This record gives sequence, C-alpha cells and structure tokens, in this order.
Amino acid sequence: MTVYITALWDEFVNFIGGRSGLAHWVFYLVALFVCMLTGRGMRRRLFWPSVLVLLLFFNPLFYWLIGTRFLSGIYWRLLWMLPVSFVTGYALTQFLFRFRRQFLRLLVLLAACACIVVTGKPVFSAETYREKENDYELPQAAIEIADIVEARLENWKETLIVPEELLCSIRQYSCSAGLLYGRNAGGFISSIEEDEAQVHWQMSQEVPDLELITRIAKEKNCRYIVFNTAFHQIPEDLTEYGYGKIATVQEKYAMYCRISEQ
Amino acid sequence: MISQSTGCWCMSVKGMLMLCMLFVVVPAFTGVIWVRLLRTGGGWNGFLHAWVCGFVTILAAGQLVLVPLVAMQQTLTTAIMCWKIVLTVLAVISFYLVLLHGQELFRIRSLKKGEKQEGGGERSANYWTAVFGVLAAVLILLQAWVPARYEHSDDDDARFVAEEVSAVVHDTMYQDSPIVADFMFWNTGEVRKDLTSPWAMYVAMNCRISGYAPAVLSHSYLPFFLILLCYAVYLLLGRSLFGKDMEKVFVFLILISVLHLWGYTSTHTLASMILLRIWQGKAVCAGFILPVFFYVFCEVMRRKYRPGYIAFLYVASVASCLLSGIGIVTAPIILFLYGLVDYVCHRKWRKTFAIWMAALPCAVFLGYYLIG
Repeated sequence: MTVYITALWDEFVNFIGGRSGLAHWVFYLVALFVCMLTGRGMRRRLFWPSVLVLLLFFNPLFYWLIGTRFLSGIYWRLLWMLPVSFVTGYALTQFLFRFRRQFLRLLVLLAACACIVVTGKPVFSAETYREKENDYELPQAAIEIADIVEARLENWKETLIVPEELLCSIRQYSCSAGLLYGRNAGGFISSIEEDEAQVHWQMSQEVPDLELITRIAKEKNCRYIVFNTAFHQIPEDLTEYGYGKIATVQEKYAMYCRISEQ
Repeated sequence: MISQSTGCWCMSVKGMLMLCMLFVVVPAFTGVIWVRLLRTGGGWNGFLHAWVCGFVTILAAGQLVLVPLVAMQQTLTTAIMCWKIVLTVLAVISFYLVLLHGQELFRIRSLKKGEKQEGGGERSANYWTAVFGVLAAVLILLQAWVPARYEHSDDDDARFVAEEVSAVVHDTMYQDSPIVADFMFWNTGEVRKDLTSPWAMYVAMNCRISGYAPAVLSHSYLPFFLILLCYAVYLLLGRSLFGKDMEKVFVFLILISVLHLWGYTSTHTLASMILLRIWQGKAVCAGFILPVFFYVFCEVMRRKYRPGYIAFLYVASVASCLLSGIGIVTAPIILFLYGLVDYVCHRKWRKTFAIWMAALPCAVFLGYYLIG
C-alpha cells in the first residue's frame, strides 16, 4: 500500500511540476475552500466535483486497479478532470467584486494577476517557442533532406539514418522518407530491435563506429545516412564504407548515399 | 507531396476560407440543432452554443464514421465521403430548423417581468464591462495567435502528424508505421490505441479538404481555431457561473487567461496542453471536451435544467472518444462523479441514470479496443 501511495504522490508532483507549481495549487485549494463557503449552488457545482476527483485520484485502490493496469505512465492525466483554473478564477472574481469601488477592483485584479505571474512560469517564452523557419514549423534541414530523398526516389519510400535532432521531424513532412529508427529509440510508438538500437547508440556518439553503422545500414537496405558535422567527427569521404556524399544541407548535415546506387 | 501554403497567395486565401468554413461556419450551422434543443436564444450566446455544440457534434460524427472504416481498412477518401454525407444530413436538419423556427432561434432572450436571472447575476453593461471585455479579448487572441505564429516542436507529433501525412499521401488510414513507413496496420504498438481514437484521421480529413499539408495545418492553423473554441467554452462556463453579469464574466476570462499564460509549471498542466500542443487529440480532450462536460454539468445541476443538455452529454461522450484514449477513460469517470453529485443533491434517480448512461459509448469503444 505504501508503494502505491508513494507512486500516487509522485504522479501528483510530476503533474504540478514540483515546487514551481505549488503556489497555483495553493490558490486552487483556497479557492475550493471559498467555493465550499459561497453557497449551496457553488458547493454543488464547483466544490464537490473537485473533491470527488481528488479522492478518486488519491485512492490507492483505484490506482492499483485502474492506474497500474490501464493508465501506466499517464495516470497524472486524470488530474485534467479537475477544474483548477475555473475554480480559482471563479473565487478570485467573486472576491474582486466584494469591493464596491471600481478602482479598488482594478487594483485587486492587478494584484491577483501579479501574484499568479510571480508564482507561475510563462508558457510563452524562448524556452518553448522560437521563430519558425517555415510554415510547417519543422527544422528546415529536415525538409531539405526529405526533398532530396523525394527527388531521387526509386521506390515508394527510402530508408534513412538521421541524427537525433531530426528523428521526429522528417516524417512529419514526407512519408517517402522512412527511418531505420525514430521515436521508438526513446521507447515510444513501437519496440526497437537490436541492430537499430546499436546504430542509434553509435549515432549518439561524437566519434561513431562507421564500420558498424554502414554494415547494418546495408543489411537493412538503408540507402541514406545523414551526419551532423557540427557534432559527428567523421571523415569527409566514406567511399571505403560503400557510401558517397551527395549533399550538404544547411552547411551542417552531410548526406551520404549507397555508392552502388548513386 | 500535397499542395503547400507557401508561394501561392491564392491558395492561402482559399485555404483560409476553407478552414473558416470547416472550423467555424460548418460547426456553428450544425449547432443550430442544439440552439433549438437547448433554447439558448440568439445573439452571442446562441452563436457560442451553436459553435461549441456543433463542433462537438462534428467530432462525434467523425468518430462514428472513422472507427468502422479504419477497422475495415477503408481509404481516407471513403471516410471523407461518408463524413461529408453525415455533415450534409446535419446541415439539412439545421436548415430545416432555421426555416421553421428562424425568428425564435435568432431572437435574443430578454427577461420577462419577475423572471429571475440564471446564475444570480445582474444585467449591467457599463464602461468597465467594455474595458474588461477588450482586455479579455486581447489576452485570448494573444493566446490563439502566438502558437500559430511561432514554432513549438513536440516529439509526440512524430506519431500523430506522421500518421496524417501517410493518410493524406497514401490515402490509407493507420496502415503504415509512423517511423519506418512499412505496412503495419493499427494493431501494433502504441498505434493500436488510435483505432478507437482516430483524431489523426480527423485532422487528415481536414487536411485533404483544405489542401494544407498536415504539419502546416496542425502547427500553423489549428491552434488558432482550437484555442478560440476552448475559450468559447470558458465564456459559456463564465455565463453559467455569473449569469449575464458580463463584467464578472470578462474578469473571470482575464483571470483564466493569466492562469493559463503563467501555468507552465510542468509540461503536463492544462495550460501547457492548451498553449503548447492544442493540435493533438489529448490536448483537445484536456482543454476543450472536459471543460465542455464541466459546463454541461453546471447547467444540468440546476433545479430547472433543460433535458437537451443530458442528450448533449451522449454526443460529447462519443466526441471525447475520438480525441484520445484518455478521453475514453476520463469521460465515464467524470460522468459517474457528476451523476453521483447530482443524485446526492436532487435525488432524481432517473436523471442520474440518464447521466451515467451517457458513458455507454465510451464503454463500447473501450470494449472494442480491449477485445478487438
């Protein structure tokens, strides 16, 4: 039982983001308490649904029966059922309108917003958003690499090995570019096989084992390999490994193709 | 490669008009059915009800069309054709209602003498109402504009957007792996979850109709429409809580906006879902459909409620299944809890039973996922 309670607490802390999310949750709990006192109507509409969701979420039995079996790793998503911002917003609004003078209301509104801003973390920041390179909102390199593959297409799709930072973006642009491994290298979508895992490991090294990468690439009928020359320390010429350079993309990515098929 | 938005001004305008049709006009016109059923009256209130309820209805229609067709390995073109037929039928019903009850539908309800204001609010429109209204509008538009204007990359798109690209280009549905591009079909790995929650195919249908590439539609255009839709629900919720006291409603919206704008305490919070990746089904579930359930619950909890809202719960329940696996799980839980609160408060077991039965569609899709 203690294990489940600890796991539940971890899920909760994971959801709110530890200490950084604590203040907004304190606001919410205070607002919930205010809703309990506001009157029967709000007690029914705002207080009880929240309390029931919280009781359900923190119920070890429910966690054991449902959480561990069907919601493993995503149990925290149940907290989306909590109307956190609505309850906080409602209580603050009611508090604000207890002041009869309009300028006092405005002052309290500004103070409330300042509290939220100071204790929270902005969603819109350089950490989360950046200037887009194109309308696809994908790395331009991914688009150019996919375009080269598309232009030289011999079958309905080609298989590629690309650096880590392009794994998730290439196939969002073109379905002609298949990947030897993609997000499954991080344990998502589907399982990854041993050969693919080996190549992925080598591609995450500054000095990759080119012999191993190219051998597996040939075995898996992988026509293209892309290296990030700002990270990978590789010789310019990979002819001895059976791959020849066909393009440099964005002055950073060296694209190689199997020589026999060039 | 399907047509892109860059380069052709004409295409851009045509695409934008098509998106406005798909995400505003068609849902709002479909929602006329609910405006009639829920007797919301006309004006902004009627429009917001029509838009939100119509969009939910369209999502539900998408779910009912897509799940069987994906299971039967049909093409995306077939799915679009069937979906269009369903939308046409809904549009004809709406048109019939407009012809029959047009005046009643679009009339702004005014309080009769002695009638008490719902939510206990008072009708007050002054200078400050306008100030708060403008401030709320600016904050909401900012939230809709930034995700559309700037770039945020999310690794989950490696699955969702890749599936959409395959569907649009190959005219298939969940038949090739989003990573290696080999034939896979839906019952492999995480993609198995998508059979019962085919949100990606819903987006793919919109891509095909509008002519935008999936990445362009998902990253540059969907956020604008979906965030506005989310705030339409919050506005309705505000009206439900504060009545027609619009000054309070606008302050409520300002506070919610600020809470969301500074709510990035983790990548899991509702704020992060809405403002960072609203184009994904689970984010629409968190930011749109669960608040819709909450709003409907607030309406259903009234002593004198409109039975139409309970009917709407059934449609919302089907719509939640389209969005994500978590929609299939959370909708029944939330309906169970709301039903319980309603029973304890009003002791009307028939009403509670009707609320609980709305979870049935989710149970059917969950059963199909587990057994299928």
